[in-house]
Amino acid sequence: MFKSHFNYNKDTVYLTLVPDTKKFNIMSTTLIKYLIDFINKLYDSPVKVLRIRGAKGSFAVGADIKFMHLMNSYDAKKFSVLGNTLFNLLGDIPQVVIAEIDGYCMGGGLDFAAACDFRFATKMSKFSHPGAKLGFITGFGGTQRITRVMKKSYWKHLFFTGDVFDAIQMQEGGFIYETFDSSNDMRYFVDIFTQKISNKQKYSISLIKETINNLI
Amino acid sequence: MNEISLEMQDNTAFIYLNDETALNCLTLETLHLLDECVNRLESDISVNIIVIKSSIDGIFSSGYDLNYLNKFNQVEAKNFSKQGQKLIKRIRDIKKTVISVVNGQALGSGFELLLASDFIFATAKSEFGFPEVNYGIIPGFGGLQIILRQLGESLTKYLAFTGEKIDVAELYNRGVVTKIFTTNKELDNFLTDFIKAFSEKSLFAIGLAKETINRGLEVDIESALLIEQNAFSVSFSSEDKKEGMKAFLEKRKPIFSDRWENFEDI
Repeated sequence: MFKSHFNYNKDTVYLTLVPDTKKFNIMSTTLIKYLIDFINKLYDSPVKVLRIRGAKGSFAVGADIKFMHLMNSYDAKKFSVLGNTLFNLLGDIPQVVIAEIDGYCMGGGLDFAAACDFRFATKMSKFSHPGAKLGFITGFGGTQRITRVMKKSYWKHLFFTGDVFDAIQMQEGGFIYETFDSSNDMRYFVDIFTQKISNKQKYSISLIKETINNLI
Repeated sequence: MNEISLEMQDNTAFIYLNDETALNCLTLETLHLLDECVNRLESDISVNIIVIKSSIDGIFSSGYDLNYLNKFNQVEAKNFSKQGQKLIKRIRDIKKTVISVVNGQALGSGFELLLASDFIFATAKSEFGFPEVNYGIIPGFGGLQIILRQLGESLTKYLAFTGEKIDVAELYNRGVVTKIFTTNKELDNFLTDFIKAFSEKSLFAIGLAKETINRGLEVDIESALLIEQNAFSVSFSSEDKKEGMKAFLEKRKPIFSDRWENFEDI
């Protein structure tokens, strides 16, 4: 299970995902459905920016391997449809979505971050797509979204080896926009960055997002 | 008043367009209601098939209420178009079969709504068209793009540029309308049998086929074939495949059980 905290100021929603019984944030069906519901409610609100972060050392680590181990392809297809519903929604909403990564960001969690408009990370963060090590590929759109934001040799390395990348490598690869020494530094930077977006007109921001997303 | 209403008959959901004052011209309010309704039906496990009908005799939808549209500025118009496209996309994306039944006029936005559905059953007196050009606007819900893929460039342009109506026989010949009926009664009887036959089919396989066909239309042939390969291999792990093939070999009727709605059971 998971807990989530969110608070609003006029223009920005902060969503923090906190692992509950498990050590890390796992992309479970419960969490995905919660997020779909949460983001659907934002759609027509006056909010301009959605900031998402994890807690306790992870942004999100993807689906539970024990859970996926029991799946056949029929189950997997449905699980994939569910994940894609969420990540398509992140691209469709008029709000600008920012992922603030401090800790592990793996598998489906990486796909999650890839569906956001911006990704920031602390230098302690670790990234990987371990599918190749485990004998499957991601079904949450990562093979399409990550390959569109990263440089070719970086994503090939990531997907083919399952190696763990640090934040600097991910920044060099084009996935992370900026890296920071501490989570406080990151928060401070993103606060200012967010203000530069939230003082603009919501409609024009959403038009730009829509236009660009339709191109790539 | 209620612009739309929902009626359940066994496992079929009938959505009725009821807006008599506006002759079923789609308003933002109606679009929201339809979108919510279809969204709800998508996850309702008691619903196998969805039918969209009008409760106004002789009119499926008369297209546009100009008094209503005239108040829109360009931002509102874009939003209106977006909401319409959202509904049409939802109808095309859901894994359930959507049938539209037409007995009379289906113009403008109503015509676009029809085009989103998987099957169109119409009576001989039905007529269709995009009158938008007569008011200095163009269709905005995505119907032009859908019909373009079915009719080709020149007839689509003819309809969009002239605003002329096209009769049901022409659309039937070109594969847009699925079937024509001389009377409403004949249509209703056919629909009842059609739905009954559907209830014995694998809804999982139908959903997979719908997805494969709709997506296949939008991408190049190589990608489309890959989508089909993957969908085919997924179908081989469903219970429905085991049951369907087993029943055939045992010379009995299959009882299918796989559903798209339920993510809790994975």
